[in-house]
Amino acid sequence: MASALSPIPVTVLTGFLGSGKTTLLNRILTEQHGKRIAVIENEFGEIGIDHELVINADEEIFEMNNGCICCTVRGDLIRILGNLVKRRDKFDYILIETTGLADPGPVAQTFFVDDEMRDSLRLDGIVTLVDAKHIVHHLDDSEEIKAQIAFADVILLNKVDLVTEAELKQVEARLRAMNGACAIHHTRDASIDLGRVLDVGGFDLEHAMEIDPRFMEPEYPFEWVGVYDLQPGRYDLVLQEGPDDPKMDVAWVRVDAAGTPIDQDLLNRSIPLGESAFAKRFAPQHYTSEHGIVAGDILHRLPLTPGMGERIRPHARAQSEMVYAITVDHPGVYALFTEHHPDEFDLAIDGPESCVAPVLAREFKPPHEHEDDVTSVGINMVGDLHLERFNRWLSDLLRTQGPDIYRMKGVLSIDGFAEKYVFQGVHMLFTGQLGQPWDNDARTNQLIFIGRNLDRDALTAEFQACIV
Amino acid sequence: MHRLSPLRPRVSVKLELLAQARLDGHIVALTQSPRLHTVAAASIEGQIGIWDVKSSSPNLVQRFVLPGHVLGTMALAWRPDGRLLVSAGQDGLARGWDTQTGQEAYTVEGGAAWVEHLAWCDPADRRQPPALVTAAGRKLRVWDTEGHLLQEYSDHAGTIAGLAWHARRQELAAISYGVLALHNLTHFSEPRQLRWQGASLAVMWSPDGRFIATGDQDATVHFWLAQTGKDLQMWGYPTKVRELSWDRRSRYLATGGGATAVVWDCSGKGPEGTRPTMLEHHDDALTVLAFQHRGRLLASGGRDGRVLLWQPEKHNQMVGSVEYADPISQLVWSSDDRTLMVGTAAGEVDLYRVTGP
Repeated sequence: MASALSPIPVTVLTGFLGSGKTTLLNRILTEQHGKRIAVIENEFGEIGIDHELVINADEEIFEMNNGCICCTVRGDLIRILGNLVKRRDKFDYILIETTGLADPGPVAQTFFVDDEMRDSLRLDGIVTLVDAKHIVHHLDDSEEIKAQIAFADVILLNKVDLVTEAELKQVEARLRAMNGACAIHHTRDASIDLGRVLDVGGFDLEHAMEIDPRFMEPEYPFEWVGVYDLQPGRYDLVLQEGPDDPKMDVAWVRVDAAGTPIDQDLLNRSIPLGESAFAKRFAPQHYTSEHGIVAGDILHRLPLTPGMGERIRPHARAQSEMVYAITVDHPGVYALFTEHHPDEFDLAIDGPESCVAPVLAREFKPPHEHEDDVTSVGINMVGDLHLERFNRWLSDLLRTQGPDIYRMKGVLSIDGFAEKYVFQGVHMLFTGQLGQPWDNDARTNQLIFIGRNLDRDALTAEFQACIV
Repeated sequence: MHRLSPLRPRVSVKLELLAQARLDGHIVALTQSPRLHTVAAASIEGQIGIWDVKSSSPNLVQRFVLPGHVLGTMALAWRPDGRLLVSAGQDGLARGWDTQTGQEAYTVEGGAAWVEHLAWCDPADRRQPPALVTAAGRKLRVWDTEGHLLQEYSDHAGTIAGLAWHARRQELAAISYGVLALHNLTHFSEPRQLRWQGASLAVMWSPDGRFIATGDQDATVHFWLAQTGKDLQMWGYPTKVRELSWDRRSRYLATGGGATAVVWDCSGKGPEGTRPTMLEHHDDALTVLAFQHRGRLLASGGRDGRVLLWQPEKHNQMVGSVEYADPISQLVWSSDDRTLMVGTAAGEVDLYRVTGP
């Protein structure tokens, strides 16, 4: 019996021409990481690559007679990889640089549909480079870039030095709404710790549920809440000059009596109060020093005018500093909800005695303004799944919407099983298995679909119907 | 994967190891000279070995180890006079080697990064000298015996995945995604194109020229009737099919596409609707199938390192075997069918005398 060798990891680099793919590729090849890397290049011309094992190939898509999209594979890769695995002792990693317009679907499927590829290679991850400045235009008119973002395990938001912080935030929020499961890193000249792009295990079932929990939540109109335990008195909300926004909306609410234990439960209870105040975004209360900020079901709109306001305590002020008065009439637990993340403005609350810090705080994912047709739907639901009902639902879903579902992954709690069920998939190709036992972990279902024209409410309701 | 019971041949065919040779790397090509007394093998690392086959020990005497192609050799083809061996490689070149001196006689460019396939096309009536065909990417180039370009066909639908020459029909079959092109090399007319949406990976003429068989990426085998261009598709393989071999009478086609060798009987109306013979004794996917030139034995090699012999006309029992530690990559019968040459993924090139049943 011939000996079985461990599969060779493969990373796929995608991204438009000019996004920095070749720069990243050259960085990977020149850095001292001890790996012997073979490169397959579909993209020609940008910058030369000086490396001993580079194979140039034209993209060749093999569609099958049955018309099944999940059987569509990349013939050029099968041919070249098939030859590379015959000399597998000569290298230990493979990088594929696709063209700017490549669809990652057939590339990924090649590693699952073709037996030879599946046995000898392991698709480690899809890394998509995005030009932070120009992506916005491409997103509106290119299906290719949308697919590249949707398929990514890692997005490098490159050339961040060419955009303002506000622009960057907006772009990131938009990418995040499209792909809620990937890691997003900000880079200049594609400079990145290689540990973040190689050996990321994007298709490993063990990593199926390493999704940022923030992105499993519903979307809120605020990015941050801080909870404070305060005595009556006059406080100052102090902001430093931040991103180029003309205003910031905040809500200030009294959540409970003083001395109430401040825990996650209390924080969760405060969220509806913040939502209620932020619902008044068409009737905000414009801040004046006369009225100050008072607790209540009010949305305070703070003008971001450098130098405004006076501090209650003597203080060496920066010229650009902005001060807003908060009056606390009764002792109690108060929550401050802010439209933007406080770090962007070095937000602080100064009390009569000293600076007060929140006892508990939470960040929320930034709301996105664009409704892209490519979105992520995360489902986070307690309860055990009825295996048969769930199977029927999922196979129906993949049959009818498979071409629109780029990727999916998650952990499921299945009725009658002591172990977690982990899965991941590309279009209609689905792999899953029982993993670690739940033991003391709370049984819950966490999954994400990334795709086109996904109906969040329908998916959530249908999933809920599979719960016992 | 389950282990099968120890190999127990039903009728014993003896495989006696005569000689061993070795190259550095996976053996990607193994071929016997038309002059019979010489064999050549190439490895993915580039090296090409040429050995003389002797009737007494040592049975393999190394003549040359040629550098071949620095980035990797992909194919070998003997010129019909046996004096020249042509190799193709990942340096984009085809090189002609003088087999008497070991010198490089000429070098030609295939027209793409890799030259993957070669065929010497020698008309059965010998009215014309043989021509060499190289396939690189979408380009098919035709050269005379000394390496002068005669013709180029650059408009193949995709990368050419295989070539097969039929001497009596004087037609060269070239497969690429979606198209089986039949070239007439006498008139250099436009090729006849047989279309089907799929990706063929291997192509082989039946010796009588009636059928062209292709093995395909979508785990099917196609039988094309060369005369009419009609095709017949065989489904049900576990994986893509790259292993094909016709028996001498054009009656049986052995196919791989998994761990089972599937043998179709093409007599009468052809294989449609018939049940193939299933040869099961490999533990892992097949890599190569080879019928004898005149005899009835079929040799199969697999990723499990096994070389098995069969007599599919009679029954589906294995009749002989030998086992390696590494996957088998090449199996070639000598022209007299008395010796079997085995190439492996570890670079071994072994010669066996086959006796019985």
